[in-house]
Amino acid sequence: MIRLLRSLFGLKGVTGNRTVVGSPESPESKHLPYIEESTRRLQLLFELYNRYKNTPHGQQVKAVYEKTQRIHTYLAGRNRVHELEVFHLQHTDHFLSTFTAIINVHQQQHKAPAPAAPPPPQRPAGKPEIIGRTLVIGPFRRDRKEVKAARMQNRETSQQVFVDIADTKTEIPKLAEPEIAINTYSKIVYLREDISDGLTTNEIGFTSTPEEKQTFANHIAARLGLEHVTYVGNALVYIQTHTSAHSPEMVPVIHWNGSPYVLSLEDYRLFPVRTFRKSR
Amino acid sequence: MTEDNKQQNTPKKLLTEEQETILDLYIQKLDAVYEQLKTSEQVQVEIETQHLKKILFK
Repeated sequence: MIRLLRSLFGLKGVTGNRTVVGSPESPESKHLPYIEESTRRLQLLFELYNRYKNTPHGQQVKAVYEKTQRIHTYLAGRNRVHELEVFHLQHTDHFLSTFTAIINVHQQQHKAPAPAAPPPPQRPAGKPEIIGRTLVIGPFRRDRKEVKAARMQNRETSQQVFVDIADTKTEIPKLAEPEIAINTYSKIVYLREDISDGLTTNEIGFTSTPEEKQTFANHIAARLGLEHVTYVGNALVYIQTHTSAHSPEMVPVIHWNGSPYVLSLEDYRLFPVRTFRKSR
Repeated sequence: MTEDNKQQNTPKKLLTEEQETILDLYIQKLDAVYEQLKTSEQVQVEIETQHLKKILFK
């Protein structure tokens, strides 16, 4: 049993490692994957609480979520991300796998006698739950033979086209990945649908609480259909495609699939960026 | 369907006694970790203070 659970951790570890790729800049940015991983664990804890909510242990699981969050806030606020990661490895991961296994077994047993039963009621509002459930990666590792072959083939195609147009003086557009600086004090507002089809105005900024950041990340994830989105902070940028390109705009920065992106709230487009985080 | 609802209103015991104890212990552990973090901060402050004192009264 334990071995099986451990192998689950191993799988999770891979998700954590891949974030480092492609962000070799300032040492502070190395903190980001840890924070992201920590937030993901908090999400998992919260989902676990949702599954236990209708059992006599709901409050206890909720307490675990809240107390873990307290530790997260404390350590993340002091930039002690390594301690945070160690804490999760030693505690949260074991707790999650054990109590997820318990509820899984329990629900399977209860489902068995009633085959035509309606789907379990623990996911009432589908939207916020999109995040943090699937574990991807594995066969797409860079060192796989097929992966290498595919990259090689595309590289040859690129080379071919490049040679073809070499004489025609066609300009090849250059995609940029500008370095942005996270603004640590300002907040911007965004609109979110509420239950009664109206819109609520929410604030988001670097200093927002983890819950607020989670709400924002969930909102973005639902809007864009992405999973595992985390909120990083706001940044001041020029967005060329906008009519207001002359004046810089404050926009949220999200972390997804291992890289940071600037999100234009006007048209919900993502622009790849590199983060530069000033040491406080 | 109605049977299903009944089951939810009077949930069967989900955790064994041992598992329940573990859950309680885990919550206590989380409290302990947090307290330890705060204490270590206080100790740090104390060390710094003593250090400064030593310099001043040498």
